[in-house]
Amino acid sequence: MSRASREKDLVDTFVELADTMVGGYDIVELLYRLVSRSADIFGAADAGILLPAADGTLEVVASTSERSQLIGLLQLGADQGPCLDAYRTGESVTVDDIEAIRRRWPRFAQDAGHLGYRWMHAMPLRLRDEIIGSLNLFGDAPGALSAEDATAARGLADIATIGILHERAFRESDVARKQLQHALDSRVIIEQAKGVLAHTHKIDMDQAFHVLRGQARSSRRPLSDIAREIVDDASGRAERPL
Amino acid sequence: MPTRESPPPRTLCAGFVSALPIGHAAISTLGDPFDVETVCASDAVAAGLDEVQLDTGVGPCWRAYSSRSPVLVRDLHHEDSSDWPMLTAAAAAEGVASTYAFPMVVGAVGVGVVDLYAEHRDALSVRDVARALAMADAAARHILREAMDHLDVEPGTGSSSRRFVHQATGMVCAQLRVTPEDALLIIRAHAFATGRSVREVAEALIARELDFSE
Repeated sequence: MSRASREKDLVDTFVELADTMVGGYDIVELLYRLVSRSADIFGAADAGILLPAADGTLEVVASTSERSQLIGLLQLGADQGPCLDAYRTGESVTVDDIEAIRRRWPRFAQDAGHLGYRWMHAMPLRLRDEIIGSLNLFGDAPGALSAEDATAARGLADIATIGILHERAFRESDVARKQLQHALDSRVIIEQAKGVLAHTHKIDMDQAFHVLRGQARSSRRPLSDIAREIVDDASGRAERPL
Repeated sequence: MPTRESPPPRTLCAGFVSALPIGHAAISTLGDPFDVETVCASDAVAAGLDEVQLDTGVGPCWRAYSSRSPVLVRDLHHEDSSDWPMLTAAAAAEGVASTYAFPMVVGAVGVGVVDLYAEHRDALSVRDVARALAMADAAARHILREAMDHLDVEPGTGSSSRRFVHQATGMVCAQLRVTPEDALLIIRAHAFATGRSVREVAEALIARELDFSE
């Protein structure tokens, strides 16, 4: 690939990935695009991304082929390999000969040797002190990444990191929103029901709450359900006649 | 009745006043999943001006909240401030000439708005605006965390300042046989017509000084 077209591809990829984040955001889409573009641009046979699942165990989340899926899994199985090292140390790891692989990660070399990759370049997905996974490139042809390539690859890894953290923040805040919404709805309807009871029975708010709790206890139903019925009855919204 | 464990975030508002060239700051939550209420204010001026916006349902804070962008009203007594006449009038009475509303958002949650009020027009520089944005971000997280921490409070015993309004709403439902939405509308209309705040009308209803069924 010529330098000019490589540059263009990189820019196009950055734009494409940024679009994914701004537009209809889909994290899976983002990661799949990332691995396939990475492999293309850097002349790698394959690329894969490792991320921890909710319980902390690492998973191969996106991968360009069965082969690279497998090599990811093999490292997880052997509990060693370049992708794990990148994740654990926060430093990029490059190996470009079989001997080096065998020396550093003997168990992994044993399992993965037959897969035939000649070089591997593993980058941590990292934002300041937080390492959230690794982006990994695997090559068949001789000649691993140049320093320049490694820098460009780092740029793609950074985009992946930001995309993942962004999506995570969104997801967590959505859970928070739902929980708060539910709590708010309960609080509001209960206060309204107190008001209804206070006016209807000429009692104060504490007494009204006492009545409300009594009804909930004796019918063994949640406070907010009783409250809702009381408010609906008072406002003439009840389905059954009073 | 249990009270809130931590004090209201008054320091949040004070922080805006000391870090920026403005005289008053208030922070309000403006709806689901929060109540519509002012959670802190640096002083009575800020509290009062926020109350006007919340009671009337119009103002820079509402616009900032729905658009999720800051609304910078550099001159309250000029520009398109005919959009919110009651706020403009109240601001004039308090010697406030400009106001800046910064939405607080955490991921998918619209937490509310930080409202800054200044005696001078054009009080905030570009750098001030950037700083205010960063501070609003931090305030958003703080308020969301606080709210999450209070999730376990038993329903009916929480100390939201808005609870009087909900209770009064219930009373009006029973008095007039209307839905809570209509009841609140009636309360707001009465507040507007009598020049009182929604909260004052709510308190009058609860104290039996006011009864719409009579």
